[in-house]
Amino acid sequence: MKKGILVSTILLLIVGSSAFLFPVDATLDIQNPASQTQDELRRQLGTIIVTPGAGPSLAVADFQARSTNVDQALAMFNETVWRDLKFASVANIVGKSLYPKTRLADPSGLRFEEWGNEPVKADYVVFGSLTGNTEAQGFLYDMKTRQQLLTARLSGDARNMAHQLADQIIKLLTGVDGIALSKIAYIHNREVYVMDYDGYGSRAFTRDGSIALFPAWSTDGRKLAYVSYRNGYPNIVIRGEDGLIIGSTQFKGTTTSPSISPNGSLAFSSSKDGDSMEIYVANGDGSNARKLTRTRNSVNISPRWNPRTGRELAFISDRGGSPQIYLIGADGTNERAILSLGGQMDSPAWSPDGRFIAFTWDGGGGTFNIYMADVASGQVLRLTREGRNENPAWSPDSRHIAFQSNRTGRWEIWAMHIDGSEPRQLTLNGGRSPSWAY
Amino acid sequence: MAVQLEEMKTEMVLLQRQVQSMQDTFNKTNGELNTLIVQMSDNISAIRRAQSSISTNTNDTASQVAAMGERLTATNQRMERLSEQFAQLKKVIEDIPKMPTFSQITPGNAEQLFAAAYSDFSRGNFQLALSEFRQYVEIYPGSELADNAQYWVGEIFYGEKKLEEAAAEFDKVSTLNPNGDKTSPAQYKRATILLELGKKDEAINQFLLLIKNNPKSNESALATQQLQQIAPEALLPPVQPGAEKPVRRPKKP
Repeated sequence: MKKGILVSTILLLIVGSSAFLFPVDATLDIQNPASQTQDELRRQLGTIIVTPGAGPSLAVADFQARSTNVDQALAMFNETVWRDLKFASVANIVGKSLYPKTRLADPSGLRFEEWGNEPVKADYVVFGSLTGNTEAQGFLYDMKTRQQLLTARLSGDARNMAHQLADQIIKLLTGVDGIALSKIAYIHNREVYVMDYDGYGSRAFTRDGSIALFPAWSTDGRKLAYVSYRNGYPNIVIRGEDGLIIGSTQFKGTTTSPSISPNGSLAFSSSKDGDSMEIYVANGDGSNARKLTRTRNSVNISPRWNPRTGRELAFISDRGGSPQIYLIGADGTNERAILSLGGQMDSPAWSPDGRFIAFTWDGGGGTFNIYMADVASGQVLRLTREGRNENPAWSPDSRHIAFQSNRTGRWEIWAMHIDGSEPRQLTLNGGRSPSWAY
Repeated sequence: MAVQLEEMKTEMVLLQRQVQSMQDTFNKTNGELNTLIVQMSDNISAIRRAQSSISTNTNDTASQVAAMGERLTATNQRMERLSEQFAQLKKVIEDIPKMPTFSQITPGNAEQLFAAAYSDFSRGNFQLALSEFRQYVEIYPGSELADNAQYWVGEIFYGEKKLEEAAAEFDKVSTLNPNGDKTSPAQYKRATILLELGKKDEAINQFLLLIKNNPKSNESALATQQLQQIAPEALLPPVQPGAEKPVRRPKKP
């Protein structure tokens, strides 16, 4: 391919506005109306997220108490299972108003015709009981085959047991690991905080007493890198999941936007060697930094590993005039622009399955929103429309995206499905820069 | 009285003739009947023999048919069960929210094939990507992306630590498009592989060729770094005949 051609080989297909100016892909079939390709990408995303009317139906019967003094735990358990399975979107959840009035706690009470026929007409039914505040048993039945698919004996606090059950059900129905037990790091009050994936259980991860920015989990969730001003210059600090410091960079200038590869290598951007912000790759403890990009008077920031292969990074560079997304090999070779749509792009985030890059873009002069691009085809989809939205972070299953939004008047962490549907607010007291642990 | 007696004798004769006639008729009919009976009997015997023969065959065939029927029934039952299971399985598979595969590749659409190949590489499906990139180079050797596809072929081998194969594949990139944007990365990768293989001189030559051909590329800077470590003398400009030899000055303390 001729040099520079790739810059113009991206076809913007879905931007939600006709005001954006962008180069049209000379190599793609431009005879295809954009809407057709847009529909195709939406159709493919529709196979990831179950939309109403499609996919199997799942009834989630309220769990019953099999012990005294478990009312509070029971309520929390039932609410959490319901929210987990609803947000997972692997099945349509049948509304509880349609359920039979008889309480269902164990298989002996299950009447298949009640749950399998109208009005419930569920393909699967979840039910069970709490035998104590920290013990529960759950069941999943297939209404058509009348087979028991799952017997789960759970222990832990109510929310944890609910998350466990939801993940087991999702794994059984889809073969994919659920995310109900995953966690999200974010910035709150200048420190790194960690919360459960649904916004509960927020707790401080750092207490540096300075300024913390841009937390980034390792792909296994056992390390977290972030930017800290604790020693004057902004540098990268790497901590284990227990909070202990594993390593750090000690550069003058600005060092920022860390990203940890599947094999533990640390990527970041830094002005440590001159005026330009360049992309570097270092050992997992921040040592032995190697420069990947070499530009003059340019800003190269926000490197993000392809978490699937660990062989390429996406990053932002303004070498062409405005900040756009580029790719580069882990050894500094094969650098090229991948999205050149004009306007200002920021914070690329490669999906864990390696297929998509979510990013922030102002659409060529408008408000910043979250977009998603198919890495190979260059198809782009706008995901947010309300308020200003930035810093996308992928869920471990590549089916959801967390981001920061000011749509409520303050920056908060939100999460949505991969197609932009069902946004849900996760933080209530402010939050920025989410990073979803894998 | 005599007349009456005569008339009675005549009637008697007539009756006797009638009886005789009837007897003859009866006998004739009886004979014919017997013949018919014999013939029928023969026919019946023949039929019975034939039946017997047929019966034997029929019995065999019937038992075979019965056996086949049973097997067919069993097979049908199994087929029905399999069909049900298949339908259930199909529904389960259809209902599973699966990750989308790349759009179907239209034969003859080079861009789709390349995009699908890179998508597979990016998703870690290296063997599938290798097959697609190779297919691309084979079908579209003169296209703009042929050198790109060839580069990724080398990259996949390199990732598998198949160094000899990777070096050979990277070497083909510049052949497909000497001025392409993948020539420098391919030459750099090939040079580093040669180093790994212990072929230092070849590696140095490859680095130097890269620096000469694309001095402003990022790979050229990387090659220079490598040469500074393994063969700094290779980076010195050649001494012109008659030029003054540089004077070594002692380092300051």
